Amino acid sequence: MLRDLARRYWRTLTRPSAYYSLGFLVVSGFVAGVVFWGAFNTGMEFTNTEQFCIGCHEMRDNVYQEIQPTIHFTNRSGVRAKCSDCHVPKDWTHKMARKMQASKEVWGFIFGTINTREKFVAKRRELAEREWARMKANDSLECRNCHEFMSMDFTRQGKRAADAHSTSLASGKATCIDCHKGIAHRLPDMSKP
Amino acid sequence: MEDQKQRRTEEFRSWLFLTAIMAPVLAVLAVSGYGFVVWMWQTFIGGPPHY
Repeated sequence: MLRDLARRYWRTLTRPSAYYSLGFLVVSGFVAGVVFWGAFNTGMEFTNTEQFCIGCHEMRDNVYQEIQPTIHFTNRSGVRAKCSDCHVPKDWTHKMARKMQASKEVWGFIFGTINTREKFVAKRRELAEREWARMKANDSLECRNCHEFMSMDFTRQGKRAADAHSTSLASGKATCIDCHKGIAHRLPDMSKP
Repeated sequence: MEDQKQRRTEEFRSWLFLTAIMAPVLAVLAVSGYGFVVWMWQTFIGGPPHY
């Protein structure tokens, strides 16, 4: 009976349609594709929102609290960075890879890897090191999405900043994250090497 | 006559299944599979490239 049903549907799928025109099938497939891609990207955008990130208390109670007093959240001009601006690559391939990587964060959420402040603080160094390594590897790409080296006016920077930017940063010897660690969230305990 | 009606139903159901379920599921699987491969690549072969 089931075999029969499967065979009948397989036949329906593999022979030309008797009741639906080629035009209808092609156009409906095209429209469905457009609708799907729109929905897919909307869903993808939603996972980039702050509201989504702080939906779990690990983010809301730790890193989200810490960023609020920093200049990346509150400042005179009202331009601010949200989680995904720094933590999700913009390039499509790397974005998809990062989204899949986030499945590990879902795992951590389910099993409560950092579900208390103590656990979070204990793991902070490891988490931070991972983000630093990523930014070091991509030449602080997420910083540079907003901060453009070519547009920096050294005369409007402090002497210490201008000295560092015009030498190490300009020559490519150092990248943003080499100096600017712990600017958006508190630094981990760095006493151990 | 009964056979034609059945064929029409089966064609409609097949069409609905393909457009509303199978194609979207396959597309999501393909994209997440691709993302997963890139992630594993970055983990085992070479981390986020310079660009």
